[in-house]
Amino acid sequence: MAVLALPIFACAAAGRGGASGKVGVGVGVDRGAAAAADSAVGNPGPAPVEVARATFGRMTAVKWRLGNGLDIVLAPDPQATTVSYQTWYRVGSRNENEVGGETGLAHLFEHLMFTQTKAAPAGSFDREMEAAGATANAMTSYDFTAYVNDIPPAELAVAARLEADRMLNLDLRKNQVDTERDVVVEERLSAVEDSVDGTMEELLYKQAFKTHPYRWPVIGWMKDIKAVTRDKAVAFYRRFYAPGNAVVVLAGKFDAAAALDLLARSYGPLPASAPPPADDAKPERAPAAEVRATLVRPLPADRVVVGFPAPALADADRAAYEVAAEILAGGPSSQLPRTLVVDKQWASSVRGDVAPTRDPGLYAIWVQMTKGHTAEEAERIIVDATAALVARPVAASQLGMAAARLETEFLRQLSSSHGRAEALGNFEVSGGGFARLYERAGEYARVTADDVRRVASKYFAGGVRSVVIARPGPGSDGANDDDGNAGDGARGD
Amino acid sequence: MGALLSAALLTTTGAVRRAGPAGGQLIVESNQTVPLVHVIVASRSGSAADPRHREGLTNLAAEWARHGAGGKSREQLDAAFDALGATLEVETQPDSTRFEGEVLARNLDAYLALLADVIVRPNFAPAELQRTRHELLADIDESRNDDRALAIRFFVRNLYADHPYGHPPAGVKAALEAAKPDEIAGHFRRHFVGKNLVFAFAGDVEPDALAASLKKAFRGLSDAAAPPPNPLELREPVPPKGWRIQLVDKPARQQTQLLFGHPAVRASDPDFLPLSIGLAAFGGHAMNTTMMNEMRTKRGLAYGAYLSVSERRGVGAASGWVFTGSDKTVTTLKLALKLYVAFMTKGIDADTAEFFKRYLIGAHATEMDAPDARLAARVSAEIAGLPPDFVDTYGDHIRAQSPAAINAAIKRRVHARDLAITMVATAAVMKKLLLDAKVQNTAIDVVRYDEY
Repeated sequence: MAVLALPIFACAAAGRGGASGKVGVGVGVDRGAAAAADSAVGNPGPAPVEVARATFGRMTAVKWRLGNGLDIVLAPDPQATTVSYQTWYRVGSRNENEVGGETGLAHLFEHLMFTQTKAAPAGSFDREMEAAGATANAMTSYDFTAYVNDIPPAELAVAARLEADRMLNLDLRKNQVDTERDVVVEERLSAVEDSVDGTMEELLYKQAFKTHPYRWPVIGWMKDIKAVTRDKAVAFYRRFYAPGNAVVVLAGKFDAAAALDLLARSYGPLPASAPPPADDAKPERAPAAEVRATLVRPLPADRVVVGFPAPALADADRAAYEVAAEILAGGPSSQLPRTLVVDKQWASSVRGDVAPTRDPGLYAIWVQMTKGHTAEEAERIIVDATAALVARPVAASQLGMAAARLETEFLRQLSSSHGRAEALGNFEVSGGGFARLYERAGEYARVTADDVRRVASKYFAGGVRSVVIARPGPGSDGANDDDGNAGDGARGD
Repeated sequence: MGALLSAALLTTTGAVRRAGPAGGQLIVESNQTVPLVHVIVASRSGSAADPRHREGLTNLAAEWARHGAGGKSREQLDAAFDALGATLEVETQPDSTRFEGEVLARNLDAYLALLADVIVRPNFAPAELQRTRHELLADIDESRNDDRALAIRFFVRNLYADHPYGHPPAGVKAALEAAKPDEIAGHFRRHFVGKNLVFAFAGDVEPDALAASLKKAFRGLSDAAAPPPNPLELREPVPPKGWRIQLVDKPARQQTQLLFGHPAVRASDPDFLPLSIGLAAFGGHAMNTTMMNEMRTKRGLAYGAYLSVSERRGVGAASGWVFTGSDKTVTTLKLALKLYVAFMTKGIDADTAEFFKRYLIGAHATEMDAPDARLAARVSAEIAGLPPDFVDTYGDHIRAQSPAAINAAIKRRVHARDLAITMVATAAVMKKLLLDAKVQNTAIDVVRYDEY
C-alpha cells in the first residue's frame, strides 16, 4: 500500500503543457504585468523569515516565509544528483463550483500554466526548461495543484525565473484554452471513459460524498470540460494563483542559503494578493450509509471496489488507521490478499489505498475476481475481515509487520529528491504542515493493538461503505453518458 | 549553458563492482540518505529464453520459486519478508528475470538469507505450482482491463512475430498450462546459476561487508556455466513489410490505443545512442518533440504522443504510442505515418540535435536521482552488454554524438514505410472508419481482445 501515494487523478499528467505558437485574441491577466517587470529587476522586499524546521535522520527541512506570504520549504541533500523544484498551490477540485458547471478548472490549469506570460511567449516555458535539461510536469488533486520541475542543480535560476513569472503573469489566449480543453477531453476519455478503474473510482466518490467537493472528479465532468471558456479560466486564476496561496518546495542537491537568496530575489518582488475566497467545504464523514452501484464493462470477471470512511491525512487517528489498512490489504501476507488470492484463489489481485486527503476521505479496497467468482464473495470476506478488527485485538506479529512495511514505504518515497519534495509538499498543504511528515515515520511503530481496534470500531463498524461493482459484459451500459458524467447511466442498487 | 550542463552531470559516488557468489557479478552503490537498501538479483535470461511453445516458462519458474523456499511454505515465506518490512517481486523482461525488492537496512542480513532460499533452495512444491499457474493466468486476464497493456501484448507479437521477443513475458495460456513441473524447475536451475546472475544493491550498505554477507548467504549456489543464449534470439527479427494494421477488437471503446514500430538496433550497437537522440527529438518524453508539437500542441488530437527505442541485448524496437478519440484515429494515424516518413527522409537539424542532447543529459540526471531507478539502469546496461560505466558516463556519450552521426543512424535504422501497426478499438466502428479512409480491407487484421 502506498501510504503517501496520491489518488488516481492526482497525477493527471503524463505529458502536459505545451503551447500554440499562434497569436490568439486573449487579453493578459491584468494583475501580472507590473509584477513581471518588478520580478526581473529583483527588489526582494523584506528578508525571509524562518517559520519552522524539522529533522529526520540525516535530513533537515526548513520553512521560510517571504513578505508577500509565499512559503518556501528547503530540504537539501548533498548526495542527490538533481533538484526537485515544486510549487504547490492550495487550490484543487475542492475549490471548484460544481453548481456553476465549473468542475475541472483546477486541473485545466495543469495545462494552461504552460502556455504563455507577458514575458515568456508561447512555448518558451517548455523550451527553456527542456534546453536546461529539466523535466516539467504538474499534478492536480482534490486539495492542491502542484507544478513539478526536476532540474540540474546548476540551472535552478531558470526554474525560479519561470515559476515566479507564471505565478501572477499568465497571459491566457482563447485558442490555447480551446486546444488544451480538447487535450483534456482526450485525457478524460483515457483515464475515465475507457478505464474501468477510472469509472469505478468516480462512482465510488460520487455516491459516497453527498455535500463535500470530493464528490466530483478532479479531472471534472465531461460536460463542464467541454464548456470551459477563457473568461472562466482567467477568473479562476485571479482567485487562486498568488504568493500567499502557494508553497515552493525544493529537495535535492543545492546550497540552502544560495537557494533561499535566489528564491527571495525571484519571488520577493511579487505583490501580495487578496486572500483567496474562504474554503467553506465542510468535512463530511462519508459514506454515511451503505451505497452501491453496478456497471458493465469488458472484464474477465467481476471487479469490485469497497470504500470505507478514512481520516484526513493530519488526523490523530491516521497512523493507526494506516496500520489497520496495512493489516487488511498491505503485503502479501496481509489478510485480504492471503485469503482471496492465495488461499481461496477467488481473486487475481487485491490492493488498498488510503487517500491522503486534507479532509476525511476514503479507504478503497480493489479486488479483481477470477472467473467463476463474484464480487459479493469478496465483499463478504472484506466485511468479515473488518469486523474481526473490531471484535478482537490483532496479534503483535501483525502489528510489527504492518509497521515495518509502512516504514519501508515511507523511506522509499524519501529516497529520491522528487519523492521527498512531493511528500513534503503534500503534508504542507494537506497534512497539517511539512514537519508532520517526519513525525509520521515514528508513529507507526507506536501504534498498539488497542489503537487498531479503536480506529476499526470508529471507521469500519455500522455497515457503512461505498461499493461499486463492474460486471463482465459488452460494456455498453451507458455508465459514461454523452456528457461523460460517470454514474448517470450506472445502476444504483 | 553547455558548461553548466556538464557540471550538472551525474555526481553520484558511482557503483563499485566485486566478484559475486559462484562467479556472479556484484554491483553496489552506497548512499546513506535513508536507511533503506534496494536489491535486484537478475538472471541474464529473460522471456527470450522461453522455449518454443513454452511462452511464459521463465516467468512461471521464477514465480514458482518465489512461492515457497528453504523449506518455508509460501505463507511462511511471505510472512518472513513482511516481518522485515521487505518486498520481493518477480520482474520478467525479454532479456532478464529479476527478483527485486527493498529492505530496511537493519534487516539486510536476514533478507539475504530469505533471498538465497528463493534462488538457491526453492521448494518447487507441486501444489504451489497449481496455485501459481492459476494466478498467472488470472493476471493475464486482468491485464486486458488496461487498454495500453492490452495493446502492448498484441503489438510485440505483431512486431516480432516468431522471434523470441515476439511474445509477452507473462506468456500465453496454452503454454503455461502445458509446462510440466520438472521442465519448469529444470529451466530455473539452468538459468539461476552464479555465472548467469547480476547481484545489485543500492542504499545504506557498505560494499565489502555486503560481499562477505552475500557470499555466506548464497553458499550452495551453483557455479555451473551460464546457459547459452537462445539461438533464435541472436538472429535479426524479420521486419514487417509495408503498413499493415492489426485491429484488436474490444467492445465499447471511445478511444483508440495506437502503437506502431519496427525492429531497429541492439543497445550495444554504435547506432543506438545517436538513434536515441534522433527519436527523442521525434517523440521522446518532452513537450518540444515533433509528435507532441504536431499532434497535441497544434491540433489537440491527443493527450500524449511518443516514440522511443528500447534498450535490448538483441534488436530493440523503435515503437510509437499515441491514444486518441475514435473519431480522430484515422487523422492521427495518417499524421503519425506522414511525420515518421518525413523524419526518416530528412533527419533532424543541428540545432534540434543540440537541444535534445542537452535535454537527454539533464533528464538522465533527474531519472538517476532515485536510487532504485539508478540501480535498475545499471542492471539493464549490464544485461544489454553496455560498458560498466555507461550509466555514469551517459552524458559524455550523448554529448559526443554529432548531427551527422544522428542522421546517419536515422537513415540506417528508421524504416517508416515498413511498420507493424496495432490499435485497440471497437472494430465495428474503427474498421468502417479505416475503409472510408481508403485503407484496403486486406491490410486490416481483426482479432478479438481476449483471444491472446
